[in-house]
Amino acid sequence: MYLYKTAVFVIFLVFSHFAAAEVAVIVNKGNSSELNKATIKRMYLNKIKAFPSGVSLKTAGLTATDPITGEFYKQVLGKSAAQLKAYWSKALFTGVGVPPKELESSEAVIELVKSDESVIAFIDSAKVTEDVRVVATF
Amino acid sequence: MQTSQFKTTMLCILMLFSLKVFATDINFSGYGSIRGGIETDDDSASPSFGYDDNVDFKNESLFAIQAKANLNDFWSATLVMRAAGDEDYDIEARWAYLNYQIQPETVITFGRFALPYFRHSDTQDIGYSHNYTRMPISIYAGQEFDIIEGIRVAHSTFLGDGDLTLKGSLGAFDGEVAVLGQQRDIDINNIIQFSAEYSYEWFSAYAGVVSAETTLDINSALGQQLIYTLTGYRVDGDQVFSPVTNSYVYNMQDAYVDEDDSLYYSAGITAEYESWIFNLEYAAYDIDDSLFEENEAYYAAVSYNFGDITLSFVHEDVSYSFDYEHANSTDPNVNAFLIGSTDALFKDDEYDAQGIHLRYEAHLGIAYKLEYTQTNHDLSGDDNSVVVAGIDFVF
Repeated sequence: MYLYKTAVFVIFLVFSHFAAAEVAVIVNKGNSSELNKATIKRMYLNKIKAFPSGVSLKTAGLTATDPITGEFYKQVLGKSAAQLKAYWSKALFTGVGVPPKELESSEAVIELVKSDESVIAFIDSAKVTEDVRVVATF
Repeated sequence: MQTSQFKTTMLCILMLFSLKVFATDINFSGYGSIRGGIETDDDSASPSFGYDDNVDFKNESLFAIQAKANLNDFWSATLVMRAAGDEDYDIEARWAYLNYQIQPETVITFGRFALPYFRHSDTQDIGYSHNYTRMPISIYAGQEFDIIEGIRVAHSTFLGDGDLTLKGSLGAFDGEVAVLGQQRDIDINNIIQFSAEYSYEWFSAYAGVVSAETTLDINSALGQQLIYTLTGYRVDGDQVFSPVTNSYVYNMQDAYVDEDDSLYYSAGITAEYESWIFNLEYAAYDIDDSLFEENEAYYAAVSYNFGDITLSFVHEDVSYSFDYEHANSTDPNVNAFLIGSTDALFKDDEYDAQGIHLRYEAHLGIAYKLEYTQTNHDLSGDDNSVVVAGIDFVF
């Protein structure tokens, strides 16, 4: 019985680990935009610079070394962290766009999204709270 | 190189920074490269990209820092100061501009900026942004007049399921370029640039054109050289007179670079499929009604990404048309002089090269590069090679 409990616990841990790797893309609760994967990708690659409502947008997320960030880059943007760093440096130094603002924790990202209607961000989906609206998960 | 327009822009930006410094955050970022390289054959006439037979750490090293202040939701001011080894690390304002976001996908830039003559001209000095030691010199020779003062409009939109980015610029350049080993004054007015880039999933294509009105201060030197070379010949104003017939045989305006139209055009494609990257770019330029010949250059590069390592093979080629359209005199001696002058200017520039470039992603924002390139000089038949190692970074 003890062995069984341990096994269940281990399986639970493994599954919770996988669950933690799910990425949620969030916006301010006052933002009613419906966004698909292609649109989110364009937003992060500086191709779209406003929400459908016309509100200009700022991109944000976790730091480049966070596993959630790696998952978002792979699933949504289809590029590695190094490829994106190179891509965003071109945009940054030619004045056509800025890279996403990087924050240390999902809690800090939520605080930013809560306080600014123009922000779109990605966090660990397990950390989503009532304070923000999820537009997509990956 | 500094014009009053540039000074005015700088002054405006400084004023904005000083006025807003307490109200606005200034974001600093930067990029740079440290490179050391050597050529293997000092006696070769073939290009060595600025390296000689002593290890050199200055030729291609540079540092740049960018300061950007968002003045409000629509306006921002940006200054990029760059110190490059080949300019003795003299600090130069490479970019100094105000951006106005007229609508979310349209940005107007006022001030001093790098002109995108070719696809990557405005980012060619950001080593971290590409997989090579340098963008192929056949196209990205780094012209003195790649920075202009003027206005640029950038607009991005959709075309089908793909993205279309349009750029248009208007401006002027007033400075010096090196021609035949001497610095010569050059005025380039009415610079008009337009480019379009389309990207769809793993494929992208680019086309661009730049037209300008060029005046190069070599005209009196060319006239003097003609008198010196062809005994008895006389240049009166623009007209050349033969001593044999004492009659007019040539109009020097056909050779002079005097308010002549220059045209640059280029096109390129990139395919980035799984771990493979293929790049092809072609560029051509000419100055009409002058002793300039049409220049054609291209490069083809194949890269494979092994995770942190990217290996690239680059082939590049520079050639000229040599149709000597300006050698249209009724006098064969004058034509021989004009053909000789054109050959002296351009024959030496033809070459092709093959290189292997290795990029290693040491940390995010820091890449190590290693290159071996062999160059082959068309005129002399000489070859040469360079070995270059370096570190590129962005922050």
